[in-house]
Amino acid sequence: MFRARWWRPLAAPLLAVAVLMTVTATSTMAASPYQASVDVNTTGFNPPCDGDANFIVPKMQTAAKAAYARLGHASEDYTGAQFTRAETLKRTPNDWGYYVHSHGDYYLNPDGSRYTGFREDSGDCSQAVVFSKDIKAKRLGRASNLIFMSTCHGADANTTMPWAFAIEKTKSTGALNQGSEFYVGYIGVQWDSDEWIFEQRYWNALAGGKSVGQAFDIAMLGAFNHAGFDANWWGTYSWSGAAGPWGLCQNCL
Amino acid sequence: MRSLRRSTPRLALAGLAVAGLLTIGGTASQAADPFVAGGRSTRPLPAAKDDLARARARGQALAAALGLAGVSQRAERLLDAFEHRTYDEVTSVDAAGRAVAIARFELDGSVAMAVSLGWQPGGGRAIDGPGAASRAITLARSAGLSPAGQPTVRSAAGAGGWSVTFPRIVRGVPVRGDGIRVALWPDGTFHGLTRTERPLAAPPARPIDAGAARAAAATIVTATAGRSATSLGIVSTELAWVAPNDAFGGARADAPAAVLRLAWAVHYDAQGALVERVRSIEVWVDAGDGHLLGGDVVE
Repeated sequence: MFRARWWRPLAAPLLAVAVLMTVTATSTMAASPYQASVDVNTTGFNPPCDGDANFIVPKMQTAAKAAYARLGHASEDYTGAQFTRAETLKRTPNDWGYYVHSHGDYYLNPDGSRYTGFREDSGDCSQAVVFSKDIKAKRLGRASNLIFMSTCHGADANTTMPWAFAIEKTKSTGALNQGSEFYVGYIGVQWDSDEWIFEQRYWNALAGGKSVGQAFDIAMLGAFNHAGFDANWWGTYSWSGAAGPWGLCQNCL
Repeated sequence: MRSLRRSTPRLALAGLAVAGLLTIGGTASQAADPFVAGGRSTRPLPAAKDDLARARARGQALAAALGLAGVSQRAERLLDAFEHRTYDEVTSVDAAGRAVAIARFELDGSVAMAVSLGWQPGGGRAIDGPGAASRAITLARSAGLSPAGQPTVRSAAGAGGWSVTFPRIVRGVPVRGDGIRVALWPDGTFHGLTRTERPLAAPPARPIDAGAARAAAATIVTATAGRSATSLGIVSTELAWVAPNDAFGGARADAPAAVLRLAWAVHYDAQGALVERVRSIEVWVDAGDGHLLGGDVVE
C-alpha cells in the first residue's frame, strides 16, 4: 500500500512542473509567421574547394539562427546544397529576416552593370553569384526586418543590397524612424575572426534588450585583430529588432 | 512508522530529483565557461550594493569627463564568457528612461568601454586626422587612461567619423586586439572608447626565426589546404601576440582563448580561381616551437 502512497504528496508539484515544462516548450516551438533564413557558405571555405577547413564559419551559422529565433522569427539555416541561388531566391519573398555569410563583392552582372552580391554554396566548388538585382526582382519591394550581410563589401558606400530588401540607405535616429527595418554589413574585405567577434557582440547585445542600433555601437567596440575592421548600418536605430510587420516602429525603445 | 521510515528517504530522493529537474535549465543557461556559439555571452553576477553604488559613481564621473548624456545611472555586474572578463556595466538613462550611454568598468575601477548611444554625427566643423588624434588623446586621458605611442588614425563608417587606435605593443611586438581605441564623430565629439589588455603567456625562451615559421606554416597549409596550397602565396610573416582559436583545427573553442600567445602570423594571399572563394588566409604558428595556434580567413 505504501508503495502507492509515498509519492502522493509530490503528485501536484510534479504535475505542475510537467505542465510548466510542456507549456514552455510548446510556446518556444510555436511557429512564428515571420520567416528568417540563414544562408551560410561552408563548402567554399572547406574541403574540397578550399582544402583547409574553416571552423569559424559554423559558429556564425549557429549564432545567427539562434539570434533570429530569439527575435521571434521562424529561423532556419541552410548550407551546402540547400544554399543555392535558386533556393535562396525561392525563399526570399517570404523572408522577414535574412543573414548570409559568404564571399561577397561588387560583381559585374550580364546586363553590363555592377551590383552587390554574394556567392551561393551549392555544395560544390562552382558557385554562382546571387546579385542584389535578383533578390530585388523576387521581393518586389516587400518589407524586411533585420538583414545581416556577413560578406565582404556588403555595406560599402555603393552597396546595392539594401535596396533589394526595400531598406532605405538612411540612418534614422531619435524621433525619426523608418519602420522596423535594419541593415548591417561590412565595409571592404574583412577577416572571419573579426566578423565573428562583431557578430557575437551584436547578437548578445540584442539578446540583452539593446536596440538594433545600440547593439551595433556596442559590437563596434570589440577587440578586433585588425585595425581596419569596419561595418555600417542603415535603418531605424531605436528599433528593438523584434520580428513584426513593417510599420512606424511600434517596437522602438 | 514503518511506512513513514521507508517513505522518508524516497521522498527525499524524489525531492532531490524534482529539484534537479527544476535546476537543469537554470544550470545550463547559467554555465558561463566555456562559451557556446548560439548562446548569450554575458550573464549577470550578484554584486554587493556598495560595489554597484561605486560603479554608478564611476559612471557619473566618466559621463561628466566625456560629456555623456543621462540624468541617472543603473549598474549591474556581468560575466562575459566570450571575452573572459567580468565588468560592471553602467547604463545612463535620460529623463524618459531611455538608455543614452553605456560604460563598462573593470573590477579595479578602470574604464573598459564607453559609448554614447545614438547616431548624432555632430554639427560642428569637421576635424582632420591630426586633430582627431589629438582629440582622442585628450578624451582617453579624461577617462583615466594613458594612451601611448603613435596612434593609427583612419576614417571609419562604423565609428561615425574617426577611429583612433593606440595599439598595445609589448617589447616591440603588437598585441592584436589590445590597446585603446577611440571613436569620434566628424567634429571630434566623443562617440565611443574601448580598452583591452588581456593576459599574455610567457614568451618562449628561444623563439624560432621567420624562416622556420614559414616552413612550419607551409607544412600546415600543405597538409590542410591540399591542391589549394599551390594557389596561396606568402605576402608577410610577422610576430604578434594572438588569442589562439580553432580556425584550422585543434580543440573546438567557440571563443578566442583567454590568454594570448606569441606567434608568427604567416599571411597568404590567394591567386587565380581561388580568389573567388578565399582572398587571404593567415596561419598562426607558435613562436616557440612552430605548432599551430590558429589563424584567420578573408573570404
